[in-house]
Parts: sequence; C-alpha cells; structure tokens
Amino acid sequence: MFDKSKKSTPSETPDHTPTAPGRPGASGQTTTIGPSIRINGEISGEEDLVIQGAVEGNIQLKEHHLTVGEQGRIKADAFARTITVRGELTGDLTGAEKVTITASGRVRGNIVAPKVILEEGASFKGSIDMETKAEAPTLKPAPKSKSA
Amino acid sequence: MPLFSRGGRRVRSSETAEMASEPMGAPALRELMAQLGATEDMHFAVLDLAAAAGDHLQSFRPFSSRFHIAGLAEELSSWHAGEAPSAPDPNELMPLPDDIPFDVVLAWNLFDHLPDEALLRLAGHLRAHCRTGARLHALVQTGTRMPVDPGRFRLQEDGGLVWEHRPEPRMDAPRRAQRTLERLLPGFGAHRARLLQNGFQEYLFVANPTERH
Repeated sequence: MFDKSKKSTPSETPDHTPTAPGRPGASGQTTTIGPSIRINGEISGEEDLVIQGAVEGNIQLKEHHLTVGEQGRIKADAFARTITVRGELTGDLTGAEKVTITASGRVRGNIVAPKVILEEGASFKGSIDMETKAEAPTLKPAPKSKSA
Repeated sequence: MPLFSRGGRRVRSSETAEMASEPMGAPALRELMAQLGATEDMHFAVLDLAAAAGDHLQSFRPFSSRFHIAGLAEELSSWHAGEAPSAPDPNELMPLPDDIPFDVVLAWNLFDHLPDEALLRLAGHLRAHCRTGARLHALVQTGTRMPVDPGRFRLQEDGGLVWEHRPEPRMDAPRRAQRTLERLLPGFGAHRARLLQNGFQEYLFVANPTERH
C-alpha cells in the first residue's frame, strides 16, 4: 500500500474568495428563492442564487455562486462556481472553485471541489474529492413524448 | 448523575457539562502520517469514522485524493439518548462507497461505544471496504469508566491530538484487551499498540489479506 511509485505531488489549493451570499455576481444579479417557495425540477441560470425555500431536482449555475440559506431544504445535485451551504442539503455538490459548509449547514452526499471548507459545527456525511476536476454536467433533455 | 440501564449503555446525557481539552501524543498516528507523507504516490483514500472536522480534512489533504466522513460519532450520540441496538446493520449505520477501497481508517474513541456484536459486524463492513495493507488507527479507553460523550479529536500540526469532550456523565467502559479487540476486528492485525499517558491505548491495525480480497 505504501510503496507505490511516484506519479505526482498535490498542488496547492488556490484560496478563492467566493461571492458573498446575496451579493450580485458578475451578471449583477442575485435571485432569492424565498422560504415559502417549493420547486421541483431543474434550475439553471447565469446569476447568483440564494435558496431559502425547498428545492428538489438539479441546480446548475456554471459561473455563479449558490447559497443554500439557513431555511433552505434541498434534495438535489448542484453544480456552481462556489457553493455555500447554511441549511440542509441531500445530494452531490460540485464546486468549480470551492464548497463551504457552515456551522449551521447539514449535508448528506458527496462533494467534488478543489477546495472544501467544513466550518466548526458543520454536519456532513459523505465523500470529499478534491482532486477530480469539477466539470458541469450537461443537462439532460426532457424525454420526448410519443406522438399519437 | 449518569443513568444506566442494564449493560451500562443507556444513559442520559448532560447538556450543561463543561467541555474538557486533553492534549495527547499519538506516536503511531505521527508515524502513520510521516509514512503517508514519505510515500511518493500520495493519493490515498481516507475514511474518518468521526463527525465532520475541518482540521482532519486539512491534515490529510496532502495525502488523500478521497476523504470520506462516516459520522459514526453522531450516530452513537443518538444511541445514548435511547436504547442502543445490539447489532445494527452496518450498511445502514455507516454506508460506504464501493468504488474506491480505503487505505487509511481513523477510529478514535468509537469502538468502546459499540457492543461486541456491533463492533464485530462493523469490522467486517470496514474490512470489505479496505485495501489489503490498509492502516486502521484506533484509540481505545483502558479505564473502567469513560465519558458518555465520545467527544472529538482535534488534530495538531505536529501530529498530536487534543481530545475535546464532556467529562460527565460517565459510563462503564468495556476495557477490551488487545486479544479481544483482534477477535472483534477480524481481518485486521495489530501492528502497533501503545498505552498513552491519559489512559488511551493507541493501536495501529493493518488489514490482512483475506480470501475475498
């Protein structure tokens, strides 16, 4: 086990400061899904997103920041440039730059990101992969309905 | 006062007990980390049975390509609030990924909180997800009584540990000898065993070859 030949050495993880929750992203837009909103399906966009409601499905924000607020309840796989979880999330997270689980965050799933921060008190169960390059999954087209 | 059911497993925890911090050396852990660091291909898969801890993740980050957090300590805490199952299904207690076998397992002050049968089943589950030659680093109590709260271990830069826990309430400790532990951890053999100053026994087990692996 410990006598493998040399292949590579891990590189230093870049310390990128994500867009603060609620602060507009490069598009100048931040959208908030309020606590009374429930969404089933796929969410994609070109702006930062704060979720305080309930979401089931998939979330894709290729170049932007996703924040799951303290009231957020998510059952979804999510991809974003940076992801911050303050609420509850079940699913796999892929962050192109960074994933942070704060002290109030509860996550069950797997994380792929070059940098992962678990704050004191954060709850997490699952695998963390900080070497695999995070790539955005392609959205699957909706199945075609059979023509009559 | 700690309250015990028969068998000393059912207890009522105190929310007001003060936290204690005990620095402790862990020479086998330091040796393990040095060995990991000296290995040229540092892409190990590490399984941490404890709750999520940023310092564990960061400390093993240079050596690991995959770090899995099992959160067994959280499960044990919930047991102590009620009736401890004698032999829970390890797949439900601690589901593990099948795609990558683990090279290193961290089991700090958790085995003492499991009944024999549960530990035996958990060990089989662990062995099935470990590569032959994998290292299992365990900390086990040697005293007759132990805190109900397994606490958490903060990993220091020098490889030492700080055990943060609530000293009260306390419960009976199983005081398993090395021979007993090896019987309850089939598939693993003790490679190092050392009594630490604060009464923990530090073990470094190695996953032995098995017919299935």
